[in-house]
Amino acid sequence: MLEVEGLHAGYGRTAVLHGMTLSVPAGSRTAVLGRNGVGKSTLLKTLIGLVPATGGRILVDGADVTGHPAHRRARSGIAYVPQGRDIFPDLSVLDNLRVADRTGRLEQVFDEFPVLREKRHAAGGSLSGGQQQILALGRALMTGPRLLLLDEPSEGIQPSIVDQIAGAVRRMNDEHGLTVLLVEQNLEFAAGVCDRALIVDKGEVVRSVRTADLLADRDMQHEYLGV
Amino acid sequence: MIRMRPGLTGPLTVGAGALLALTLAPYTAHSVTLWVVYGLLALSFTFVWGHGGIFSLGQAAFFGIGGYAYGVAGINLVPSTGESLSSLLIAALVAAAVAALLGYFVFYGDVGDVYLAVITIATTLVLLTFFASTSDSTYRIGNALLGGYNGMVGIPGLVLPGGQRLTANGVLAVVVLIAGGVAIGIAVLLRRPFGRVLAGIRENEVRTQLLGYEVRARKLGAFVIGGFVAGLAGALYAAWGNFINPQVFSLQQASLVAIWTLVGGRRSIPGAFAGAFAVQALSDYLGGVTEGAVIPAVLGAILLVVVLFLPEGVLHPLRERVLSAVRKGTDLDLGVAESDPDPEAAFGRDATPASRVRTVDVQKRFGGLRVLRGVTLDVAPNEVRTVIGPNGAGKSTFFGLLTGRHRPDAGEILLDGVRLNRLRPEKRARLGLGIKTQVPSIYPELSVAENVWIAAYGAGPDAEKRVAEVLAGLRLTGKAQLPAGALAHGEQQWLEIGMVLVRRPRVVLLDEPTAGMTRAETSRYVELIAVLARSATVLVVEHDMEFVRDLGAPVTMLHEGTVFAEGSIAELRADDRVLDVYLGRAKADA
Amino acid sequence: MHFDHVVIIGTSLLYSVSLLVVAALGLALAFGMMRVVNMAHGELLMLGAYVSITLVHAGLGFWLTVPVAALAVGLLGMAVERLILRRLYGRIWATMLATWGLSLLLVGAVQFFFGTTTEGIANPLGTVKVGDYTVSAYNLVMIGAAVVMIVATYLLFHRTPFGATARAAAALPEMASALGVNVARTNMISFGVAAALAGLGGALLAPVSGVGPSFGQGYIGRAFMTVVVGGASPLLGTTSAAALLGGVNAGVSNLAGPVLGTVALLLVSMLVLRFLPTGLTGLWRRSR
Repeated sequence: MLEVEGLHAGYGRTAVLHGMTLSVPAGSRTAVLGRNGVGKSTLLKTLIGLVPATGGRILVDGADVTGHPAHRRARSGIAYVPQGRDIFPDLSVLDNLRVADRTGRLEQVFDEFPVLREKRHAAGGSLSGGQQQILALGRALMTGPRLLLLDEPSEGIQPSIVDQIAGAVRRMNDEHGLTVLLVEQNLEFAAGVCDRALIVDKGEVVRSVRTADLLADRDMQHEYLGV
Repeated sequence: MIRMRPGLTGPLTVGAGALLALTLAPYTAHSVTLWVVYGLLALSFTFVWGHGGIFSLGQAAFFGIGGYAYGVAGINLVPSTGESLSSLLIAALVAAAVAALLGYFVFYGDVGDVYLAVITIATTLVLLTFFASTSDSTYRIGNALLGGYNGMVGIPGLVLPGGQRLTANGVLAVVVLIAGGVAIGIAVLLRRPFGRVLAGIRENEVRTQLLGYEVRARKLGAFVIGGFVAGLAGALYAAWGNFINPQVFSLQQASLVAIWTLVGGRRSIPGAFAGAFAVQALSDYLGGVTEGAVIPAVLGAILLVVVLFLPEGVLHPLRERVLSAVRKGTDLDLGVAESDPDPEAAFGRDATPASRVRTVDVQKRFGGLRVLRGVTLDVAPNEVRTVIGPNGAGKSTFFGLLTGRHRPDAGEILLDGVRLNRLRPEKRARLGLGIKTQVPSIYPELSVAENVWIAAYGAGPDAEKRVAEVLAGLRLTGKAQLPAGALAHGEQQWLEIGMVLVRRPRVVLLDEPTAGMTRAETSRYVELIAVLARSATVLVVEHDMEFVRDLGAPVTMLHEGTVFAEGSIAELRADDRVLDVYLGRAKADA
Repeated sequence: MHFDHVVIIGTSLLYSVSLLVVAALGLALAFGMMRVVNMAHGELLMLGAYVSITLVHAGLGFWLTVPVAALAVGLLGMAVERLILRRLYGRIWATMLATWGLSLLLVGAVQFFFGTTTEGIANPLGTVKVGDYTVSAYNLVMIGAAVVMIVATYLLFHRTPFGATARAAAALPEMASALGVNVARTNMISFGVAAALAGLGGALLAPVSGVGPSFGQGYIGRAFMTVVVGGASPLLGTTSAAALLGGVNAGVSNLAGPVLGTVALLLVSMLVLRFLPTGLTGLWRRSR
């Protein structure tokens, strides 16, 4: 589904990704783990096209999208839920969803997340953090994606909503074959959603492990994720 | 290392120009006088915008005010004083006073850049409406009738003390001397500390503030000087034509100022005059061979083309290209290997007492979000303390509270017992706080030496000497004259730390100092902090755990806006609760 | 004071406010949504007026020329966005200077093709009698037009899918593009709408002021002040700023003459900005 070969990217003079290579099979759920500042968020931004790649290739279903602008990638089936959610604050919930509407799935998204239907006329900025996260996820699903990029959806959100998000992502994967690439700090959440994890350090993928193994291995947690 | 005084080129050029003025045909001299006056107006914009970074479109307004003020002063005073130089001065001062008033509202209202541009242009246009509607004969000041749309007539020309009348050539010579004198004055001012700090504000306002400079007052100062120069130009304009009308406030007239300056190059002082000459000569030529409509169209096209394709101007880059062709071969070798700094040589000095930093239950919320729920921290003098925490723990907000970027909602921030809570960043800097931000915050277009000098100047005597020491220690002496933006990322980080430390701060705050650094550079940083701790208290906010371990300093860990754990890094590593937080397991009351 | 007198004063206040709305709305939209300070706004007004007067001379009824003016200037606006503004986003001074150049270019072009003379369009309507007074019916049309422009802009940007997309692209362009929005194309259309509002405004203003190359200059100063005082929200800001400035200007002018009216307008603007640097919009936001 997604092949990344020797990807280099960064901001201005600061390089963040130093030749990252990874592969995400179709229909899989893969987590990207690692400490702060190792390049996880930059990876997702480069994949969706918000940060330009300075080297390497990004292939989606065999097609090279490295040079495509973000909106073309979004229309070709990649959806992105950014860290911090980036809800359009002055737009109503309904309008937030409509902006992403490519496939007429509004009712489906409302059925999946009833809270959005209930709050559809409220301004996006007035929602609680958890509700905004659900909106960001619903909005991403409106584009009818085949690959979903999630950046720390559990950050700063109460546990019940975290569970709800995990359930929804799993269901989208089971029922519609949606491929998931999840960046996380929260190991339990990552393990609950994904079976495989790529561990990133200093802009490179250093390990590929089963999340169950990582969950059981305290030493590995210390080495790659702790202080 | 840094030139403080201009050479003799300027005075010689002005003198030659004044002599040349006496040889022209009187009619030519009369036209050229206007060009010189316009050049002076363009110079005011070059100074305010090109050097001060203040995108003020109000120069035409100050020009017009100067013109009207000269008219009023001249009509009323010249009959009794017998000379008009005092009226020139009065006019320029009136324009400067109006600039001060407008500038006060703009800079002390913390109005943004866009608003500044729009307000200045809107003011100009409202003045157009105002002066155009003063045709009634009740609108008079003394003997001077404002005259409404038709303008003010009978304005006295230039009369020197002694009352002798000048020929057209004489007027040109006097105008050249005045304009040249102002241009030299501006050139000198730009080399003086005021001008160099102004360049710093233009390049990076936040950094300049963090170095302890009161930015608003300096911008206001530059704006007032610009108003004075534009007002002087307006006064000369009114004296030249014995007339002024509200068209000086029109959008077309205001746009000319921008066109002259852009054509000449927006930082170039001779360019201001060259641009005005070139554009006015072209206009005069077009006026002679075509009908009038072509002129605005051509000027508009020039402006569009320059902005879209030649943002550095037309004449200035040409000159630079010629000069660099001449200089070729003597240029610095840009291929020098990256420097490996020596912290001991750069910053090592005798142990001196530093300050104690304390926060007591500081809290901060943004909207409904409680980012800091109460952080209490005590860092002893000369201690090194690392602050860590997972994403969203409140590290950067805490850092922002210490620097003065945010103000706390509750609690105390104390430096040696002095309450910092509501102090502006520049005040904190003057109390001895040195701040290094995450992204290198330097002056990219200024030379490396100039960068360090701006930092050193505000913090005591011997600035030049301290700059030299720091540059030598950073191994940047060979690159001292390069623009700082040309340095490698790691070097820029070192340069910024040099700028912070040349001020000899008593407390140093470092926000993710090793972001984007190589391993080797990071280990140099560990050395640096050890050197630093001899004379300052050091607080590091960091998430690179390898660096935190190498540093080996006591660690305070924040989580959900409060202190979660304190101790050595080994103690924290052994603490399962800490790992749980980092893995997102331990959710407090959410 | 008699009822008819009250009506007359009320109408003149509203008329003064509506002039500001009609002249400033396009400028406010471009500024509030896209952070573009369009120095050529006055010339877009002027072009709207010229389209109208040209078509009237060609035999078209005035009312028909108004939408044509909006359409023509709107298309020009899209071309301007595509060819000029797109290269300059994020650099305020560059967009200002480039549109300034455009402004001169348009003045020159109009002078070249139409000459420098000022022509009038006959007022298409007569007067209405209110008690002992009469009021120009076209003034009432102007008040109505201001309301319609505000409402139509609101509906377009708050009640249509395009509006949601345009506001999203303006607020968080990166996020919008990551959701498949072609931000470049959306911006082109948004600026086209802003230009169309200017064209519409120019056509509507044509009958109340002569049409000449300096047409735009008569309105641009007040339009800028309205936008500055209004702040970032195009609709709320423009409406409230127009109400304040129009009210002050008309009120002081009635009492003390037009010169002091202009001075009052300038003073009120300065005071608003000293205490509300983000304009009246800041006040609305704060009170919520």
